[in-house]
Amino acid sequence: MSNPEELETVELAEELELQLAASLSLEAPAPSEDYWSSIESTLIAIEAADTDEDDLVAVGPGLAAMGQQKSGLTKALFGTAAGLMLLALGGVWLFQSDGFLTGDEDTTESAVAAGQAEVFEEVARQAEAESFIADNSATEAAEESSDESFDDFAADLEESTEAKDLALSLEEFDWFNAINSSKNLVSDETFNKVRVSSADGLLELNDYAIYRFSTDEGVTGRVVLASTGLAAKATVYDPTGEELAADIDFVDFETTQPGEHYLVIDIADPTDLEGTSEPIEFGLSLQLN
Amino acid sequence: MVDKPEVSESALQTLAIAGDAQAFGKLIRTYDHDLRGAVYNITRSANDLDDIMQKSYEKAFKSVSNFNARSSMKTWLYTICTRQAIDHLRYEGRRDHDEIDGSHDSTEGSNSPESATLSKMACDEVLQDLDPETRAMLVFTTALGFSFDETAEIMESQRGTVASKVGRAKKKLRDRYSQAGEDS
Repeated sequence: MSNPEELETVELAEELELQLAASLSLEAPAPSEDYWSSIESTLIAIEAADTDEDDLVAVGPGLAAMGQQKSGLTKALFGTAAGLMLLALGGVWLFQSDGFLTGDEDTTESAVAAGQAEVFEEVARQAEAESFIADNSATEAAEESSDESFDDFAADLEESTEAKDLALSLEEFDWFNAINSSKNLVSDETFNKVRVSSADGLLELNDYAIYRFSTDEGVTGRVVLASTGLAAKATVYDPTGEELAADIDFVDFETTQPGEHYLVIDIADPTDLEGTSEPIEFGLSLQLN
Repeated sequence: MVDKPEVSESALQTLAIAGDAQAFGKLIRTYDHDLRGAVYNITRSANDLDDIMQKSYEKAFKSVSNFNARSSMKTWLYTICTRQAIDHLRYEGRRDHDEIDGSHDSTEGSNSPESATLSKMACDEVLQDLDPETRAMLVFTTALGFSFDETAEIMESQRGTVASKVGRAKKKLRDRYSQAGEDS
């Protein structure tokens, strides 16, 4: 720094840095008078529309969080070779993975999942009075209403023309079945007492697929998910709607209570798909030990 | 709508993710000043600012249920607002506006009136020529003090890409400043 030219160069750079920062730090003008009222009325309208259109909001805190436009039910039913390719890829992951039976540890994702669970607990503590968060005494009712909601949902579906088409594509197995999917379940096998079921489907923006499976307490499971560009995410919920685990490829979980669990497939980051019309294809395998 | 009890930001976030408009509204009121400032400095459009922010919040609320908590909600909102701002610039086909707040002293920190004029001129010219993404990256790194990693997360880009684009923009600025000095 003893060279005068170097000193001058640093001086100029600093001045330019200051000028650049100043040029990019202009104070934004104040919003218009109706700025917030307009935003809030829009938000309330969106909330009301979602509440009216989405049967899932009554299911429970976990699944309620998945509420979106129910566009998946009206999707055309078709299969593609690409979907099967994805499923095959998922199968390869499933059987080549060292952690197939034991489960791989992903500390980051576990931390995220734990953090989300803590947030739910915090809300339950702080907003106990709100109907949105069920307390312990309401949990069983929520569990029952969960099944009833899905049953009602399925009954409504059967009465519609779309439902007749959809019903043709949804095979039901003893322990694993699709509640809402634009494609079908493709296999259900048991290998050495390990139950494995597979499915594939299509997702668009704000779309989702839901599968329900029955299992006991203390069962370890793994979902292997393959999707176009890894754009889809799998989330496993317990019978109360509590999220057990979520990820875009491997989802390892352990059940904490018996009953109907739910597997929701949706778009991991919808902002990635804004402006695109191509649906995301996914294939999945669920195995329970 | 019944008023909800006071809750923490994380609880508000959870309620917002569940689709609660009131909770989401409270959150964006908290973040709006910073988000609005970033968008304004990317677009330089006072007339369109409210519209861009409203569209951003609408998009965010529609997709909030898919917010995955891998980043903070504020970072996620920065991403949506920035994308909306960049889309706006592309749609409008313009990167500069006449409605820049004239009361702001954009020559602060200068050593002399002459060098201040030159540096301001160089900044104005270079910023005007930058593509929207690079301009946004400069806003986050230079004006708002975000790291390259944080900016990459907001811009859904790579750290190296951010560093490279910011570095090139600054080199361009230094070259332009040097040239302006020689010309004068």
